Amino acid sequence: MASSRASLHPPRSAEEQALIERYAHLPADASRRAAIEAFEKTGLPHRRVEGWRWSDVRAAVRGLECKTVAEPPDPFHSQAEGSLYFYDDGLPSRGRIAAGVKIDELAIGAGSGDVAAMPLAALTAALASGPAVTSLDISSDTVEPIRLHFDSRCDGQFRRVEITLRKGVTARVLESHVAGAGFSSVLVDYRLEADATLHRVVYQAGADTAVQAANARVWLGHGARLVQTALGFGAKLARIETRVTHGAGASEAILNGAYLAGKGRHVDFTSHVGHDMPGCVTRQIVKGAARAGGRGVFQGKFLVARDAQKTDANMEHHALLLEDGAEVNAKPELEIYADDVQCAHGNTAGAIDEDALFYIRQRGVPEREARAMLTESFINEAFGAADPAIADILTAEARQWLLAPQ
Amino acid sequence: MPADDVTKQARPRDRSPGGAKAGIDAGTVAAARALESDKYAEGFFTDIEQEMAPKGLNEDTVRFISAKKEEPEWLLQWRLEAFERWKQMEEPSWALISYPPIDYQDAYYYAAPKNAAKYKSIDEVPQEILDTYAKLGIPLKEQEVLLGVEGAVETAAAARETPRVAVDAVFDSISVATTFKAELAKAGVIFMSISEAVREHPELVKQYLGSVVPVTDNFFATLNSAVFSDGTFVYIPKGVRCPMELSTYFRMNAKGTGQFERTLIIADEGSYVSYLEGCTAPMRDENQLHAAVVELVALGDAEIKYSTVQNWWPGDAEGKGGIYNFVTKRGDCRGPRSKISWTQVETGSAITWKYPSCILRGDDSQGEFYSIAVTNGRQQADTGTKMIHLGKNTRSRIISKGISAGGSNNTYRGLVSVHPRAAKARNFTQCDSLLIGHTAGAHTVPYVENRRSDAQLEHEATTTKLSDDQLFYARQRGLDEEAAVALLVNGFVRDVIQKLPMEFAVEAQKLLEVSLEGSVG
Amino acid sequence: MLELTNLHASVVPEDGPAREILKGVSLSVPKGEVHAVMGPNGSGKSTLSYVLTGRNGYDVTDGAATFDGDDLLSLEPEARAAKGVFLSFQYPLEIAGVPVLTFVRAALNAQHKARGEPEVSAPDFLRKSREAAAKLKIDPDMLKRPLNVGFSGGEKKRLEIFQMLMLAPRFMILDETDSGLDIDALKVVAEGVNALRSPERSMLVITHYQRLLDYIKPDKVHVLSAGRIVASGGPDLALRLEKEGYDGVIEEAA
Ligand SMILES: Nc1ncnc2c1ncn2[C@@H]1O[C@H](COP(=O)(O)OP(=O)(O)OP(=O)(O)O)[C@@H](O)[C@H]1O
Ligand SMILES: [Mg+2]
Repeated sequence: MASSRASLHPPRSAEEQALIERYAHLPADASRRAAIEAFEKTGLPHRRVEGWRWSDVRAAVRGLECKTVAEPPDPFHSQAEGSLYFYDDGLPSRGRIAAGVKIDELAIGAGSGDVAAMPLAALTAALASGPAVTSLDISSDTVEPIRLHFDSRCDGQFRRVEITLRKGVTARVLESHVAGAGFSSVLVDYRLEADATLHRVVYQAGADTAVQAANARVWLGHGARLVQTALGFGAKLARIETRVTHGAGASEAILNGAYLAGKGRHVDFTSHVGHDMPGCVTRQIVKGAARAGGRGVFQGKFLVARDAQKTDANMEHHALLLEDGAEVNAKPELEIYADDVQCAHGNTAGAIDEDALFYIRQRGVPEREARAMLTESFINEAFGAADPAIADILTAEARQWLLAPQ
Repeated sequence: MPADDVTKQARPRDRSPGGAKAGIDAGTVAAARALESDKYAEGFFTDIEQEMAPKGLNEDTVRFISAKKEEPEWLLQWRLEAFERWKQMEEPSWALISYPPIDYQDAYYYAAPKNAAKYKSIDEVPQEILDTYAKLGIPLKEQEVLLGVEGAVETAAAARETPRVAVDAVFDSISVATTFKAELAKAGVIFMSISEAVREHPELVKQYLGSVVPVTDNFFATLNSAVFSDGTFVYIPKGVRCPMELSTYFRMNAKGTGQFERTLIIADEGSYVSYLEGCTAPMRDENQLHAAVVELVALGDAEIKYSTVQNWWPGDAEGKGGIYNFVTKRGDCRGPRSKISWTQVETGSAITWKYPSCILRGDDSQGEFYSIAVTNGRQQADTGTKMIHLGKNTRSRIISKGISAGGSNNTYRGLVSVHPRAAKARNFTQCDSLLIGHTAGAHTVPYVENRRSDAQLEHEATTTKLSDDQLFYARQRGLDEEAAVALLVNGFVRDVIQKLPMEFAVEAQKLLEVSLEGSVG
Repeated sequence: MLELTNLHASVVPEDGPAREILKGVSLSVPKGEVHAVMGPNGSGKSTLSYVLTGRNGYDVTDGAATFDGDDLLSLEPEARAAKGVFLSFQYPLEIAGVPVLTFVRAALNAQHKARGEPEVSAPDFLRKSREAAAKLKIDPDMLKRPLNVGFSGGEKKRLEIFQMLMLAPRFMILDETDSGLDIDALKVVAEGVNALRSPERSMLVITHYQRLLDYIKPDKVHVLSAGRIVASGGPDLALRLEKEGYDGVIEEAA
């Protein structure tokens, strides 16, 4: 349990000071100023702040080594259609963008919303490079996915994107967050109008010299549907955080994901689902595996407001510790103020089922492969809602990790 | 104290043995309903001359308490160090509870019936206090023991009929009576107030006090370490199975006081003890603070079963008054194959903040936590457990049933932590929440930390409302709505009720009904 | 082919002391022969099958087991499988997320690799699996489902034999393969098993009923009781057991 209240005005670390100086070099506007002020109040989140007890960003960015490491490959690389590449500090470079997607590069962002709950979102809004906000307005169905590629080297990068799906539109977005070094943070705000459907895929991989945050807020209009699938390999510290709001009723969210934490990697899946309105459904399956020296974190929260009757929400988190020296921490949380609801969560952490392992070995499969086979099928359940072609790519990535020499 | 301090005078409930054993049937439901607005039967006040410490909290208060109890110097120093630390600590804010800031200077830290420390035998205990316990429905036979010391129960025949329970009665800041001491002593069991233990067994107290809950553990535990007034001390020697249930009955009576009791139970190698705790307080408009510390130590192969029925005054339906119950309870399974089991039925208090925990240090040790927490009106409960797996093959089990009604909030908060040395640790956790009515809140906040690849940790949680179908089914068979609710609630909490000693199980079921009264319709 | 001499083995439960189950089992199954093992519930039949295949939680405390003259007990389970030891489980496991064919193919290739044989090509594998499925009257769609997940008791048993046909082992242990099978299925499964009988292959058939032995004719029958083989004989011993029950036969042996 949390120790005690984090003090409101912690002494500023050198890294925090550097971030605030970075702000000073950016164009000044009210939106950025409000965001940096919000950030100054909290500073970088650390382990004494509830919600960050297992992911101490302040400690992780301390003495972040700058090696010239290329960022890990982006598995969606071949899908060049409809791509936006966010490199360095410049304006995003574009591949061919489908008709029906209007892109605006805004010099000044709107307010950054309630950032108190998401301190890194505030930081991102304050420090966004290139345009303050890159805005995508999607007004007709897109068959090809829109691909957002974010990478980071020593200087890190901060990017802010807003995506609106107009009424009834179906769109697919692939986000790749790959980092070779530096501290990077991305904030994507999705707004789904009535009956829109978003298929969102998040891929994250980072070197052990990078600290990454992939923040997203998704607002669901009436009857809207979010189908999210994430795969994270972690970095020195990587936080993949999604805040979903069922804002108008009858919407549905699928929030699946898998994390694979190898040596020297820390990967944190955090999600917060606000059931503000009645009759909404949330389904979440998160699977994780960690090797020696790797750490996985899952924090899931469903908050069901008093008026959100007939909420149907289920959260599952299951983790395998593949070797001693691995670590998995979980906090599956329910906060419920409505009575006519069905809410449940299940959480397990432990080893591969020994009986299943024996069964497979009895058929002649060597232990290492048998373990990989069981782990892969275990992880794959998290990709079940994704488009089959995407699921195949994610499965292949997971398999490669599982079979990689340790 | 003037009589108009008594805010409400409730009738005591019928606690005749027959009534108590009847269990949940239409009769008890009717009896409970007959209470109408006087739902809290324990809400009366006993008018008795009190001796109080001056209001407020400073070093002098700490010295006053220590002097009153004629404590040795080491204990005074221990308290003073705790007080120094406490002054630098911040009140925790992470629990899902809210209350106006507590003014720690606006309370009395010591209140005792005049001359209480000098009671040599039960005969010297004032009749008003004896009547208080009688009214609280401490089973009839026990009352006789309290009254006569060598009364009826100690006749062999009566003893065989009634499961015997030895009682330590704590009235505000001090222990007023402890029964069966002589007989327990024959078995080598030490059962006395902690103040007495400080005098009579200083070496044991010195060795174990603060060894499970360190002085600086948390804000409320540190406060308790500075100002604790009384509580119970138990020592079960090697290989002894305690011949009867031990229990402490806590009663807060004086106005404007806090109660800070300290309980220390040591089960030496291969011993067994079952301990029960009950708590009540008068109804008042003000909030009173209760910050207790309970420490359990189980050495190799020992087992401690600790049960609580907590029924402090919860405040009225509008949230006025009630006890702030900030309690630190922790057991240390220090030896191999030891076992500590916590069972709690929490129906009272305006605010409950409590996490009875187990440190599973010994190899093959076991921890259990069975909890029923009921909130109604404006009550807030944030309660659960911590299971800290340090030793090999350690096992823990958590079953929590939360029921939220009225405008209350009920949170399960628990930690299961498996450390790198805890090979093959196992945990199973089940947390079920039941919502009654649409203005209550039910929350589940588990923390799971695993650093062993061979650990097996399982957690399940559900939140539901009472099923309309089941309610209808029961009513179709002729039960009225409240009886149907009682029936279903009983089913919901059954797993935990079964873990309670018989006498308490019946008591607990009745309490549940009374607590939930008026929550439907 | 398989030689057991004075085999003693204990189970080591998760929470509790070890308990000796096999108390000196000696048994010899020559090449090409089928031996049946019968015996009361809890006598140690399944334990024997697990000890031979190397399941965790069973400690061999004394005695030896050799396969083709080589020590079997020191090998990993997959190495025993690659040598051709196959166990049809009394209670087959469910493995979520792994389709039957994917699984069998992985196993077949692993065994071939361990033995230094070439991989089986995909078309050959598919053809073989179709044939085996047809022989056992298994709906091909079932082979695309995750292994045993949601299969009925009889379907699971049938699938064990399907895997056996695909892997073509040299030594087969059938642990109550007949339980859970309906009358027609029993016949189909027995035919599948018989298809594998050859002078190069041997079998240990664990069963409680003569019924299965009507189809799979044993060369020898052994009675296992309380961890020891108390009687051995020809096929007629099984018939006697069916008539007289275990009690009579065991008493006489004692
Ligand atoms: N993992 C285990 N833990 C505890 N006891 C076990 C374990 N495995 C086997 N046993 C015990 O060993 C004995 C032999 O079991 P086994 O499964 O070998 O019997 P069996 O002859 O196959 O019986 P059946 O005819 O019922 O299948 C039984 O008493 C069983 O309870
Ligand atoms: Mg068997």
